[in-house]
Amino acid sequence: MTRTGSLLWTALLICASHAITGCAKVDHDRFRRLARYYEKKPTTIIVLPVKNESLDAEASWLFLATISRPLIDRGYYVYPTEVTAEILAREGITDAVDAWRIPPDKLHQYLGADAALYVTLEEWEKTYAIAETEVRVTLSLQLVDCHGRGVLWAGRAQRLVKSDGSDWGIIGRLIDAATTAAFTDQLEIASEANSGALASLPIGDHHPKYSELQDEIDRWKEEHGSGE
Amino acid sequence: MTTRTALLAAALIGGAVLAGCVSPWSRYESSAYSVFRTPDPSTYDAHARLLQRVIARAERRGQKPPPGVCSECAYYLWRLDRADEAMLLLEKEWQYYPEAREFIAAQKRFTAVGSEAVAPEIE
Repeated sequence: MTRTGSLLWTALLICASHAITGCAKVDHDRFRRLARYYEKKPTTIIVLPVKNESLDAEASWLFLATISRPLIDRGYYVYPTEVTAEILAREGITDAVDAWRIPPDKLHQYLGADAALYVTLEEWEKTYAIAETEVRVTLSLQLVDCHGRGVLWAGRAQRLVKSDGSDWGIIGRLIDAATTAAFTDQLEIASEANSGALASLPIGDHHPKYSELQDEIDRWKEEHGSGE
Repeated sequence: MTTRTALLAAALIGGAVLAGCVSPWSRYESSAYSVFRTPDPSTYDAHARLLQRVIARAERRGQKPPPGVCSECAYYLWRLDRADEAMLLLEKEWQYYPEAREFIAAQKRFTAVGSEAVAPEIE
């Protein structure tokens, strides 16, 4: 073999080994987080009334109407929000302030919820002008374990949408690359914000890829222990 | 048949086919929002009908309806004074999703007895 050929082979071997080690690189932090999350296997989620810190009193309906579907699509059993509201109302609990005071373990004890979702609508501002109108939205979500393990997951989304349909892009932690939305379609904006904020929530056991993910976690545990 | 009539017929058939293909589940959010904004028998009825279509479509395909849909539909039927139908749907939800039985039991309590019934006491 000539010197050039030998060098070429060496370069190829180095590339191949990099490719192999690159593929085999394990994201231990991700698996640690997932293993912790699935310790109690949250299956059923109760969505408590939205805490609305915005100036728009009706905005909480937008978020309540658009929170269930993305959660269900992520594989969870979500208690219907209207039924939850009815049950709470029969206890004299009609707003977020009182609902959020209920200890999470009581939500498990009386309604069987594994986790409670607390949604705070921090900002929902509509600015109207002749040339353009914009909607600014910020929301944060916390999924709290009803078996006493505290916060299981938290998400946040923040975005601006302009009236001409141009999207100002991703701000904060909105992961979903949302399509541009007309400002008039507030429901779509709320839906995108909810879906974006929930994008990092680990999938639940009704999701088609749940078993595959659990197998992956089990393999990781076998190979790396707890990873601690 | 003129060309114009044929085109019109094709457009109508195409529209009907497309309308049939659109999943009722994709219209869930706007329907739910209508109920929140205008809680009256007409929106309850429209939402319950949509949810019934979601359930029927899933069952026709041999699948379970999405979690909570039978329960939510039952709630609006109960609101429309159709408690018997509501109870049947709650039984269905109970079978499909045993993990939600405590919640469904709480819903059954007020559905079966009427508006005077009480939910479990949360202290």
